[in-house]
Amino acid sequence: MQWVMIAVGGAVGALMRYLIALLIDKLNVKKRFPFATLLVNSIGSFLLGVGYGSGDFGPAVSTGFLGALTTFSTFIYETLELSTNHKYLALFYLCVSVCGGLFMAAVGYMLVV
Amino acid sequence: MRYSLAVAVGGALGALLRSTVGTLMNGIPFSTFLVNIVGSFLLGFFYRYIESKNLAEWFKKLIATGLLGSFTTFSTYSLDLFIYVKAGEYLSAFLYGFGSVVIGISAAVIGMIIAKRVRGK
Repeated sequence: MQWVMIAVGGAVGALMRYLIALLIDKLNVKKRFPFATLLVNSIGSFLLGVGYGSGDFGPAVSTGFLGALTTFSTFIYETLELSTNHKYLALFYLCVSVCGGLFMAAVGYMLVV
Repeated sequence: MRYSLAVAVGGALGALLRSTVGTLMNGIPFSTFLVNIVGSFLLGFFYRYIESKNLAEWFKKLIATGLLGSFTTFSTYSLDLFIYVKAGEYLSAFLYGFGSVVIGISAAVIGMIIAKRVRGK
């Protein structure tokens, strides 16, 4: 039944990512910078760091929920979109996402270890 | 909020597919790398391919936000980077971190180019 748990976790994770994006879009009127993806990717990386440090959350949460809450494909696509008109902003988005994700995973891990 | 169901269904499928790839590649590292590259390629392809098509919004959300968003993952990528750094394997961290991004961007661009060809423009 593990696959059912992963599917449920994945559904909830993707839904939360979508709802956070809707909420951020309302606040971020200019839509110049993809704050929503940066936010979910940072939160997800932090929580997976916590899970790694505290001895695994199990597949429903790690693979399902946190895997689906965060996204790599949208991050890549947004970087490309941003680079057509704002090259340096795209580079900034890329660096902040990768370094931020690594940093947040480290912080999550260190908080519980 | 209108497309919540489509996103949730796509998200469930995406997570299952990612998990299946991980199981099939059991023992072989880089399953996260593989899904992230394939997913980036497919998202680039999908967005370009549907540009001129009049598809229902729920279908776009199901595939792009739900399925491909959830098939690829950033949290495991970040954690893998951290595990390399923690082990002092800085070269691996750099290669994996940099490689995923560069190859992911290239894959998305190739997907976009193929979509334009297929679309006939």
